[in-house]
Order: sequence, then structure tokens, then C-alpha cells
Amino acid sequence: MKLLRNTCLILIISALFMSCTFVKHDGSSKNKNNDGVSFYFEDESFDAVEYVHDIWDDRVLTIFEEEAYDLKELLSLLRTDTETTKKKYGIRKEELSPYTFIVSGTFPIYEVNRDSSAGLLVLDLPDLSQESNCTIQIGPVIKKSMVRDALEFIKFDDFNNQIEFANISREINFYIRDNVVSVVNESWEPGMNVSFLGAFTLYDGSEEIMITPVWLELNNGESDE
Amino acid sequence: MGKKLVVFVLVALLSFTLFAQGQKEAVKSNLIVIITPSHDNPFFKTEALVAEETAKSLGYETLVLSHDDDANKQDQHFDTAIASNAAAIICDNAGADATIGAVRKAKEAGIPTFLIDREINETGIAVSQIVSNNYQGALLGGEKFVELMGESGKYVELVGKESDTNAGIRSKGYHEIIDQYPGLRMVARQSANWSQTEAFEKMESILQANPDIKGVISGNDTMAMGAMAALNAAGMGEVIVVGFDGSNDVRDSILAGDIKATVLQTAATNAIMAVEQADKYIKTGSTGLPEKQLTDCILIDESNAARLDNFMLK
Repeated sequence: MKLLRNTCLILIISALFMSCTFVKHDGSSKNKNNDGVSFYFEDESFDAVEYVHDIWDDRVLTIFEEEAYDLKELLSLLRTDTETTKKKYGIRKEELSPYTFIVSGTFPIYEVNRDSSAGLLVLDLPDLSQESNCTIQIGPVIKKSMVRDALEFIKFDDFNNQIEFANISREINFYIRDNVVSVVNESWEPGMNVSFLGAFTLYDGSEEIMITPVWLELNNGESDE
Repeated sequence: MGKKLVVFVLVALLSFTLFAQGQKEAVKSNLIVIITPSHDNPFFKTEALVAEETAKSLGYETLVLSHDDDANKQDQHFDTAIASNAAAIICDNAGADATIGAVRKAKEAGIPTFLIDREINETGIAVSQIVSNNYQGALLGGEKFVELMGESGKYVELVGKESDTNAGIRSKGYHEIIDQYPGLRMVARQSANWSQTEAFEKMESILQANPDIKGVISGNDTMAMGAMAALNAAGMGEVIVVGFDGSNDVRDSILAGDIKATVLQTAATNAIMAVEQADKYIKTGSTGLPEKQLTDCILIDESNAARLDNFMLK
């Protein structure tokens, strides 16, 4: 009888364990943003700040310098044959994503627009159509994830979840805010030439060219225009 | 008598184990099991229906089940799929951590799982994880919300279900944009668990303490619908509400001038992709694609809402 009781006990305990689902606590309460807001699944196992600092000089800038296309040439190619140009010069990591392009150039500034916190340098490219405004983001708010999306070595598949992948873009944008667009000051005025290295994503049905810069400087020499 | 019972139990256990092992060797059925959250939410209903249609058009039999966001129920559905020796499982799962065990169990039984919509916190056990780019979508929604708010004012955030990474990622995307504007101030942030009725009730009580809010940003469309109903009931229909999903309900609300914007997740496309990849995997042993795949979201507002139908932009 004792054997039966023990066996039954073991079976019951095993059954209990088998029917349980163990849920890992995500510990999100410890990780809050500046405003005290915490996000589910956010944890400290991946340090995006360190990651971005590690890749910036050696990889990001190197890749951008090596792979940048001349903006003026690219725009003219896009105008003549959009689909072929997208496939030939664009980068996309997913089959259905829009294409992102790495570009460089020197152009006169048409306007320094600080109306919104997402400030813009409007470039003076006279032969572009009216609708296709060409701008460079100067922050402090940097929108979209263009620089991350231009870097083919940063693959979603290599990260645990969307949160980690998102953190990379956030930190890249913060890095740009603090180290790249911080060179823009009151002395930057319409008519001056600006040289840049950056990326833009071309969304379907849109002709808007908004470049996120990885390098930016005033240039006293000749412009591409 | 006692000993006989013990022997019986042991023999039963042993034969069950042998039976389970024997199944692994068995020829695969032609069945695709489709498991999603409750069809009360049109998003899940659409992805289940589209997955079913696609599978049938490719010549498969289907079994469509709902786990109602209960991980134990989902576990039973995976057991059903394993016992039926399914050819593949298509699943919109019941929890990023809680689902890992079920997917692994299916893999060990030789049944490939293709996850849609929600991801799990582990790679290498599902064959595909086809997830909407919730971060990109939330940035779109956040940017539109900021623009509609005129970069200032008090607002409320409704967050989704805690067990779902999508709830975390959308909130994170919203905040990454909104928190950079000092003029925008969040006065309340609550989870309404993706539920319309819960959002209605939470919004009612939030409004009592904060009758002067200018906007509500919501983690999905059903909660946005609940919030909008509560705002209309309180005579505050002018408050800016932004959702996420791109449901027909919110489309109609946008066209009627109530909800201002939402973010379309291409639920139908993702479901088709999952079934097609399952088909390729069943036939060739590989999808030829990375496990984790993101599909981009599209901002929906009054300019394009009329073209939206069943999670597809025409």
C-alpha cells in the first residue's frame, strides 16, 4: 500500500508540474525611461549605447564613406527609372520594406527650419520638382530609423526581439543628435554650402527626400549645384 | 491489488511514451493547424481566415483554433496538433515567454511552427517568425500624434497586454517620439489588455480625474474604439485619438471624423507569407529565408482610410 501511495504521490506531483507553465519575470519594473515609464520585456541584457559607440567610427562611418552615392546623380537616376534604380542602389533587409540609400553631396542651404523640434535644413536643388522637397534632419528630434536600416550588417535575426532591434535605432538617432547635428548653430544661414554624408528611405508613393546625416559640415568651396 | 495498479500505471506510461515516439516516424498528415487569439478582435479573425484560405488553396486541410490569450489553452492546442501529426502549425501566440515550451515541444515531435504577428523571446525553435515592424509603426503613429497635438498638451496612453512584446514595443516607439517634445505631458498610462470594454471603463475613470486632456494614444484599435466611445459619451469627441492595427472599425471612425489616425499592420499579407513559407518548408525542408522577418506598417489617416479594407490597402 505504501508503494502505491508513494507512486501516486509522485505521479500527482509530476502531473502538477507538467500542467504548469513557467513564466519568466521580465523585470521591466527596474528599467524605466527618463520619465519613469517602464516597458514590458525591456531588460539590461543588451546595451545598445555601448553597441552604437562600438560600431560608429569603424563600421558606420567607414561603410557610409565607401558606399555613398552622389545625391544629385542618384536623384536623376531615380527620376528616369525609379524601379531599376531602387533595386540597383537601394538597401532593404526585408522583402516588402521600402529602399534606403546612402548618399553624399554639397549643396546650398535654402532654409534652416526650426519650427518643429524635428528641425530640417532645406537644400536648394533647383532642378527638383516642387513636390520633392530635399531636406536634412538637424534635430533635436531625429525621426525614423534610416541609418540603422542602411546598415546591412545590423540584422533583426541577430537580436532577441524587436525591443533590442529598436534600441539600436534609438541610440543611433541619439548619437546623431548629440554628435552629428550638434554642429548646426545660429551661424548656419541660407545661401551657405553644406556638405553631408547620410541616408534616406524612399517610401512608396512619396517623393520626399529627408536625409538623416552621419556627418555634416559647412563648406566654403563649390557646391554640386 | 496495489502492486497490480502500479504495474498497470507504469505499463500505460511506457506504452504512451513508445506510442509518442512511434508517431515521430509516421508519415505527416496534410493538416495545417492555425492557432490565434480570440476572433472577437477582427485583426485575429482576419489573419486566421486568410491563413485558412491560403492553406486550402494550396491543398491542405485546416484546423482553426483560438487560445484566447491563455497559454495553457494554447498548450493544449499544440498537443492537439502533435496528436494529429500536423504538417505545420501557424500561430499568433499567447505570450513571448510562455509560448517557448509549446513551440519546442512541437519541434521535438517533428512539427514546424510558423509564428505570425507576435514574436517569442527565443530563436532557433520556430521556423519563421513573421512580425509586423511594430517599432517602425509606433514611430509613425507617434509622429502623427505629435503633429495632431501641435507638439503640446496633456495626453493619456492606453497600453496593451503585458505578456505580448508588441505591447511593450509600441509603447516604446510612441514614447521615443513623444518624450522628445517637452510640451507634451502624459497624465495617465494604463493597460486595458487590448480590450475595448476595458478601455472604455478605464477611460471613463481617467476622464474624471483629467477632464482637460487633449489626446489619447492607444496600443491597438480595439482600445482606441473603447476610448473614443468613452470620450464621445463624456461630450469630449474633439479629443485626438490614435490607434494601431488598421481595422475596418477604426477606418469607419476616421471617415466619420472621430478617431484621427491608426497604423496598419499588414495582417493579411503576413498570414499569406506564413502559409506559403510553411508550404515551401513542408515540400523542400527549408524556407530559404531568415527566421525573423519584419513587415512594415503604414500610417492610416483621413487621406487614405477609404482605401483600407480587411487589413489591406487597396
